[in-house]
Amino acid sequence: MTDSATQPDLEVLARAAGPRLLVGVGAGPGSEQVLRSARILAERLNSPWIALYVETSRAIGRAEKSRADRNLALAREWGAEVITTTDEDVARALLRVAGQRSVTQIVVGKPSGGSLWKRLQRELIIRRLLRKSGGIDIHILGVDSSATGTRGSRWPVRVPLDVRQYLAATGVVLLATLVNLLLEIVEPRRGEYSTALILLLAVVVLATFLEVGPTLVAATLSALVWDYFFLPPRFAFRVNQFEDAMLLGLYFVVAIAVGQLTARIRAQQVAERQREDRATALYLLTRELTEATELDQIPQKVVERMQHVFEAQIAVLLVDQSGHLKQHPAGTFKMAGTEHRVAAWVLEQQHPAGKFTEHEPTAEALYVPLKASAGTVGVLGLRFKQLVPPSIGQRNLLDAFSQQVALALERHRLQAVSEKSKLLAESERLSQNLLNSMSHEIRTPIAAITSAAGNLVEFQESDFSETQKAMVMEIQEATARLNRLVGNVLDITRLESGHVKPKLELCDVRDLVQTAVRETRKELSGHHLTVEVPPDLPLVRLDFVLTLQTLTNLLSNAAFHTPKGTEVRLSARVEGPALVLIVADRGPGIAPQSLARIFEKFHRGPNAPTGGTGLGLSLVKGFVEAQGGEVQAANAPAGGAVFTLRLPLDKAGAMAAN
Amino acid sequence: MSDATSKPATVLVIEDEVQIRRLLRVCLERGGYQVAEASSGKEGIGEAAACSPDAVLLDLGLPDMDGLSVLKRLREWSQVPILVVSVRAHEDEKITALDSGANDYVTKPFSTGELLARLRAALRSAQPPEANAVFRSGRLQVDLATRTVKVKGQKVRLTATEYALLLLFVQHAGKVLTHGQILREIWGPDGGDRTGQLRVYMAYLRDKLEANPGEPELLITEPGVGYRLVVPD
Repeated sequence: MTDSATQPDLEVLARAAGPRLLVGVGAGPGSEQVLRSARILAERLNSPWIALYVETSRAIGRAEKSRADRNLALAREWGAEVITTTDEDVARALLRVAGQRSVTQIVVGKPSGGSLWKRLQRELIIRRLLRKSGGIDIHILGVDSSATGTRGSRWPVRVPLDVRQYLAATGVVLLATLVNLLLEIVEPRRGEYSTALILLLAVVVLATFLEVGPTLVAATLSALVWDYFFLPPRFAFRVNQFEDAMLLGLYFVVAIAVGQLTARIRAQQVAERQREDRATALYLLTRELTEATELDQIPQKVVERMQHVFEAQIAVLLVDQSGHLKQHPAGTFKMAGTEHRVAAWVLEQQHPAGKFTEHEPTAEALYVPLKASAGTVGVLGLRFKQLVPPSIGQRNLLDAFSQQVALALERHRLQAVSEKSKLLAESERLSQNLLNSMSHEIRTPIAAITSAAGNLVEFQESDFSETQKAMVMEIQEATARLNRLVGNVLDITRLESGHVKPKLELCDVRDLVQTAVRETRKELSGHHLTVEVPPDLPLVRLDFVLTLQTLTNLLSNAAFHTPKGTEVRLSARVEGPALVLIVADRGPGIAPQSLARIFEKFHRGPNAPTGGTGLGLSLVKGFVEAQGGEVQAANAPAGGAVFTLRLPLDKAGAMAAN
Repeated sequence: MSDATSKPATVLVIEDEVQIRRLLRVCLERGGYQVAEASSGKEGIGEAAACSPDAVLLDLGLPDMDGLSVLKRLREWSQVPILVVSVRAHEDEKITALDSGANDYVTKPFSTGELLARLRAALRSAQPPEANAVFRSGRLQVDLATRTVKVKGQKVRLTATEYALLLLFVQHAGKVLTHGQILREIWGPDGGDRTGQLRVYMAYLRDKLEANPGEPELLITEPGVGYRLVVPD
């Protein structure tokens, strides 16, 4: 494929990626209107947009410069990406940036207002744009001439008079005159044109080193000197021949041409140096931020670097855990109370504010947000030494700085988060290990005792006396209780450390109740157990094991606290959006002073028989609540304790057992 | 099996706690078994290869390697019935052990009688069922050849799925089947989310087979793990 063939493909690709707007911003008063329209256009197209300012070597006045800065600040505020570039040809610059950034549409203002010369220039720019833009759309927006507002001073502010330059100009011209006079003594037959060339040489040399003013003075002086001293008739200001007049004119032409050229080169040099300075500053900051290992080092580095680069006092405000801005002690700018309000606004609105902006321009400092992916992480405050608003370059640099700082802060935050979660996982693993080894270490001897005692009675060959058999039974009962206690303690630890994670599955409540009854058959052997489960109960999404443990705990509890021969009733039904499980007994009931505290750990009722672990009911509460349910204890009017469990029915989970 | 005529079955105990090992030996020898011991996972694997036991009692908390890895290593080459004996009571661990090939799971502390009953069931299930055998458990009678199910001599009609489910339990009589194992066997590899259906079919089976469906004696729920078909000793 040839290059010419790939070019349109790229354009197609760029268009496929969606529209992208580029708007040319000038120093003219109409630019604000153009920006406003471009913003609306970009919003309508839902496209990103770029505001481009082209710096030419043409000297511009301070008023124009600050207007350009304001326009760009406005563009930035309105969400445009702001780019400045240096080029003598504005149209070329626009197209160059458009090509680099895959821009599909360029927006410029219609030439209006200003001098005829300026209008002509702008028309030329637009014509060149139209001719060379190829596939890019060009929008030319009309500018309301009344909006042009006050015109800036037409003339650039004069360079302050540098006396030394004028002295040097005069001196060099005098020197050239002296040389001419000396040459005349040595070679009297020399013509007046050779003297004119020596003076011209002086002007050229001066033009390369001096500003335009002194150069022009030198040109005038040279012309006068030549005319008066060397051009016949000598010692009179008279020009007889046309060639001589041309030569005199040439002094000025050369002075202006060389002077302009030098001025351009110098301006570009200055711009280049500034850019280099900014790039270096940004590079240094980035490097320092990367090297910062502690969070505290970041504000410190930022302050050190920025107060140097911006010649300003710096305040760094970071968002603390509670979401409030807190000034970092490393800052060199001590903020007054009202300043904090501005900073808080910046944090909330994620917009620059304070001095040199439209919001709170009376503030002492300029505040910019530190925007990271997860929101604003802080605010930078700059109290400039300079009285004029920061230039485009400074604002761009400030943007780049704040981005880097926000990134560095974000990186530290993420690192802290990941370390914390690693720590959490580690502690979870540790506590799980502890639980496992606890359970192993304690249960192994219990298993040995149980097994040994079991062997004593389970094999019929032993010829134990009744007392001995009773003793073995005691051992068995005690170990069973100890085992229960260990199990309960482990369960409560697991609950309290958040290790109980309910496994919700569709369960058959009938099966659940049957299993609970089977597991407590031994404890309840002396009681009358009544089970009421309607046959049409739906399947319910719950944790089978946790609910089973809840039920067995409640059933054992009932068996333990009520006299033998009394009734224990277990019932299940669906009531509204909940599965209700009720365990009711006909015992003495719960003492009134215990009702409120009955689910507390190790709480014992006043008449409770010994032998319980004091944990059963807190486990019931914990297991039920872990599944999003609730448990209530009450005394029935007819006597006896009633425990009511309510487990929320998941609408999708309840399934009719048809 | 502890038949008087045949050689007593050998049980390999892989357990690091010497006290538990001693007690198990007493239990098992009284139950008529011959006992081999190993105190670590590596030793256990070696011993299993050397003495080719009829059953293995495996502790999960071994000092040198995880009991589950021992289980998987043994299952690579042997179909010997393996009973996991452990204090790790959490259901997930039971399921993992059972799905990794354990035949049954006994939680410490255990009673001797329970352990021996489980061991007998595991040994029995290791013997291949005869194709035309008739399975009997209490009131239940399943003729595998004619696919007839009788309760107390009365013929009971089962649907295809119910019969498939019952057949699965009969083939693994006495052994815990995890929910996952049952779902995979009956509904195929993507049957994992049919837990609800399994509950419903189990309720149907109990209604048809149990004397008192409110107190099942044949098909027992193993909470959080699965079900087991009880085999009378």
